[in-house]
Amino acid sequence: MRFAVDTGGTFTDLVVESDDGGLRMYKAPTTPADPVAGVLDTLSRAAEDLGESRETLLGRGEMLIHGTTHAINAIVTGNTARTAFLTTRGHPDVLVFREGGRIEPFNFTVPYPEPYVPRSLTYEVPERVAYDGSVMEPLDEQGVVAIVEELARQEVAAVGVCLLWSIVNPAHELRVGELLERHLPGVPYTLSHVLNPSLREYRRASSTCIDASLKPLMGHYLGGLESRLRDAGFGGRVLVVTTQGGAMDAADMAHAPIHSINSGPAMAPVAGRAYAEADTGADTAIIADTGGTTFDVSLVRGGRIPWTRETWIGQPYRGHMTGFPAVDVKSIGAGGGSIAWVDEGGLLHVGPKSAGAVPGPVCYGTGGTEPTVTDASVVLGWIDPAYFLGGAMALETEAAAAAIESHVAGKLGLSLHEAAAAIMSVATENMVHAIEDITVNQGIDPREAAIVGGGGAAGLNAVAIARRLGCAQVILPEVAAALSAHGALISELRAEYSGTLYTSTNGFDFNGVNALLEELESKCRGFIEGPGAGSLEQEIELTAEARYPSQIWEIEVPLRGRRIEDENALAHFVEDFHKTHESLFTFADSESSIETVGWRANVRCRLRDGVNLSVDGADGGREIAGHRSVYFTDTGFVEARVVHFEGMETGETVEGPAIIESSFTTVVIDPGAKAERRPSGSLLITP
Amino acid sequence: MERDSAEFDPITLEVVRHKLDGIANEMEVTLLKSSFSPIVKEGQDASASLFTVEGETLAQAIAIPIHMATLIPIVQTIRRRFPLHEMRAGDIYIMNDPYLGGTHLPDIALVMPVFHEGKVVALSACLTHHQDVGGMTPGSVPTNATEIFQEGVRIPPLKLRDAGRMNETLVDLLRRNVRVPEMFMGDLNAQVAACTVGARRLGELASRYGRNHLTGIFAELLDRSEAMTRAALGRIPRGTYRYVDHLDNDGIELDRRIRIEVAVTVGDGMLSCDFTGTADQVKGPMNCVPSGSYAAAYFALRALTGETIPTNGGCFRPVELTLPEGSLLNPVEPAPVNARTPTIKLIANAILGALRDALPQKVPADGAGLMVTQAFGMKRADGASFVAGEMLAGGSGASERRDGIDTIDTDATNCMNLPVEALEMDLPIRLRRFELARDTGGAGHRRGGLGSVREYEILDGEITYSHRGERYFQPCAGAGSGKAGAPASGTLYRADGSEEAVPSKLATVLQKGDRLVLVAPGGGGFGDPREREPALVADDVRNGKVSPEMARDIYGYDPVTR
Repeated sequence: MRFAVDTGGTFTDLVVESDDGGLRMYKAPTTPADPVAGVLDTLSRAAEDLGESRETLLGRGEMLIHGTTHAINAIVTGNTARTAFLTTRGHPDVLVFREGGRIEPFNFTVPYPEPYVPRSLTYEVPERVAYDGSVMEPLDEQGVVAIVEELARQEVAAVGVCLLWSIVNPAHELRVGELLERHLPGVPYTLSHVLNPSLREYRRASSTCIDASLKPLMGHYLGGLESRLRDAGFGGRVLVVTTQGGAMDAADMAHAPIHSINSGPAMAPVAGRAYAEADTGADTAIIADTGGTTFDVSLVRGGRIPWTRETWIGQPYRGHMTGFPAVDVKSIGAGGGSIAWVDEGGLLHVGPKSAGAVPGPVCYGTGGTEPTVTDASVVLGWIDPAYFLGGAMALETEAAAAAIESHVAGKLGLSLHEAAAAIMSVATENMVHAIEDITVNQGIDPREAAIVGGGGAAGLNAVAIARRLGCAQVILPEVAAALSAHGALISELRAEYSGTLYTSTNGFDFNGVNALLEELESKCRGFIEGPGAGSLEQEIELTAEARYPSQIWEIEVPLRGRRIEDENALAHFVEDFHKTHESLFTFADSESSIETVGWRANVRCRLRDGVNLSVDGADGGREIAGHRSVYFTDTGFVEARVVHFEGMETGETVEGPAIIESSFTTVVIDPGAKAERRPSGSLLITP
Repeated sequence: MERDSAEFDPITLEVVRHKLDGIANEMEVTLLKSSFSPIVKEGQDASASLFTVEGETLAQAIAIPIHMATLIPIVQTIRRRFPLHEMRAGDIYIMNDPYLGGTHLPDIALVMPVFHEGKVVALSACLTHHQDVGGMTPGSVPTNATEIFQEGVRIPPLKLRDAGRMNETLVDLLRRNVRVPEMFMGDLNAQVAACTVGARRLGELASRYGRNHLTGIFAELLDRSEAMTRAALGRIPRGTYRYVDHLDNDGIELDRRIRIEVAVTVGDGMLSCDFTGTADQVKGPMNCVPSGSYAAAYFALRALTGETIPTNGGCFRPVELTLPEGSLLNPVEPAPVNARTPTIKLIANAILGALRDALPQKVPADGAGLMVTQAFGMKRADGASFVAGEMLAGGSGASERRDGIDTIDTDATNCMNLPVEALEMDLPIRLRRFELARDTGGAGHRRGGLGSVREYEILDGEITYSHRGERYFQPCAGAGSGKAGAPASGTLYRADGSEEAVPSKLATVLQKGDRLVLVAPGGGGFGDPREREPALVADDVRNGKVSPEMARDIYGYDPVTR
């Protein structure tokens, strides 16, 4: 049995996969002060539903895959550790200068961010290594000890160390690490050449400092998660979803927590791709994941999930570069918990502030006073107050209405229902804008893509969004409410290793290159035998980062074999480089020599053959309401059919106005739209 | 052609507009990522644009503003020399002559017609600053040039490719006139690739929408941007506004400052800039052919009318310039023009400075931005020549609400830093120091951005070095009661123990063991420094941006009583 748990801003989602492949899903409110409690709550709900104790259920589990926004939340809210940056003397401003450049050259009002670590916590290490690894100035250990003592006085909780050319000769960085352990025991640190051995000091330093700043927090969090799961009876393996859309062991993640920055949202496109293929055969899809707090959009293009090599926290040039590739996901503050407010000029806004899980929307009756998207949906009759989360939480319609009256309707001179509908329209516009940003702005016509909805709030305005964009198809998988968690079940174990070795095809350093490839491959084999033991299929891919002489940027070229043994193998590599260069840039200089700078090894271990798309165990027995009165902007109140999601037969169609409900989600079928139940269990909606 | 706006649905217009921007960006990525010279990547000194058959900008890749508009006169010259009906599929045209519409000789432009069903539907163009195009010094930006003939090879509008066939005669001739032919050809190939990518993608767009519909959309997009720009200009108070700034010198007569004067008139949806009063053309290479002044004016216009207006040729229609013939801004042949970048930047700065009176909340104090350009030339151990360029940025000006940004390129250029590790991998130079220079930001209620110090040590060989600085003698002015930023400065420490000051412009030879220390200027401050919040001054002191002495004397900050 496997568990996938995704902790979002508002809800924690669980998908349980039994040994025969059957899926069940559960939801519990996220508990921001102690997110592990929310994870355990979902497991309790599953145990209750399955009629066994939580301990018994957990005892049956072999694996738990976890997606978490803990790391990114800490960065965005400024709650990472007090971190110091140790750099080569003479170069204290690596994080200030970044690589320069402005994203909007015409706009000089754009603010520029502070460095990730302030200058007052930046320390210059007396040492210098040259580009060839030779030592130009030896490390002054006394000087380092003095710095470390100052770090203690400054009560620094984490240290990032990035020295120039440590990727060629790591001796000084390693020694600084030893001195930190001796003189500042217990304070975690990150060495740049270990974490991200790549050329160009800013990106390496930025990776290093972000990683170090997350170590205390993520070490504590992941350690707590694992030990509390053990205490609760879980004997299996705990994996965490990575920014790259793979998974790694929680203990390893604690040692390189930078890989957890986009854990969670990175998995939605993996699941979304599977549904788009199964339900429509489309290979281009927009994955729109609407949770309580954020709206995360990603793309599937030609069957591929686009990656970015240069990943920034925040906007390019204006944020902080992670130095690692990532699945391309755009997030905005819009979701079920987004708060509606009216500005001084009388304009209605929705978000980016969210009521989150605490205090939650007004209708939860848990202390929220500001109206949210969820409150508007209840007032409009879209969400049944008696059947939210399958009836687990009774909603207070009157409190929601009163909040909308006082915060929105009164200020705008609208009726209650007009105001609630306006809140939904503004939320829809925000989401449409985010989708346009990743489609239209990149020259992709959204009318040619299918929308796959995910997240508990996706069904409220999926039809409205599709109509605004002109999309012909909307897919709402049965598992939509836990789309990222479902994606986590599909994920593979992944790791990447890299090294820097400069050489040229004029006088190629066969020995050096093959020794490095041997080292990288043995790390991959270690991974396969360690974390990857027992996986179904393993794959190692070796690539070189190469360029023409004095070209500025390298391109990645996969190697045909595991080594470059002789002139013949080198000739193959050269041929592949020219071909790759030509396909990327339309020209190749077949006479020219080639320089290689970096070498990478990717290892992937597949854990499962396939994952079911449909969910078992309909929470049957519920009486279908039949009809209820529902408000739409164009029609006012109309009698809409109310249909039970799990009760729909394959091939059955429902025409709007209608509401399709399940325990986890409410799908609004506007007048004129039509929904059909697909064999995968999904709803395929023609908006 | 009569067009009815209603025939274009808003989604199609938006999709095509973004698609055009996407194509330009794809061309730009091809140029930057596949180019060979550091100046292209780190300086982003290359750009790509799409043009209508009439020669108006359709889309431009966002890199450095001065390039964009400078392609306009080049495209027009090429259209005159090669009329549309004579163009053939597979043609590529080349030119760089400043006196025929170019900029300076290192900037070589390529233009390629895009065909659909046998007709030209658009033009795909790009411009790359080549690391070396010959002339009297490596890098082809001699600060001591007195004639254009010393600056490199001049290329009139010619066919680089004729119906798909490369003009080998021309290529051979060019290869013989540049110092590093492999690098030159590498960058030229990257340009051909970028134009080809642009043409291919535009061709796909034409197949999809049809030629007539597509050109109709193009015209509609340009008209809309023009209307939005005129409306935005209408929101600026009408009137004539003036500003004067100075360049340090022309590199020949070192003690003579060069005046740039502008009178900007706003009214009737127009922006007119009259440069009467600007210095006569100079002996040295700071002269700027007209394309540069247009680039500066377009930059200022776009910066002030708001970032929401789609940038295309429609935005540029309401601009009118008066450039007196024989002046710095409209020189007569054969005046040298290679060092015109600082001139363009000061023109942009002067136009914005003038409009500060009209829009005090929108225009920041003067910024330094990119004000130092250097070129290192040498022989490698294997005898091959090598040339590398490097640009240094200073601080940006403070604005009413924000401090200036430390060490960032501003206004009409957009240069990246060369990472230390990238520089040291390519050159026998060690960068001993690269850090913010304390106290260089102009004091003010909002502080100007800091400049930085860069210290180079020559590790080997003999390096021909040319240095073109600015703001050594004329610091960035503050706004209101804000103070000026610190000026630039530089010192050359010779291996033999002697010292030389770097006088804004310099051409010399560096030897092993020589050290060069350059301080980039700071941006101007905004408002009275005594009104700066004490907590912000304390932060600046703690972060080493302001010295305790300056905090006390200029900001009136007293840490003892706090």
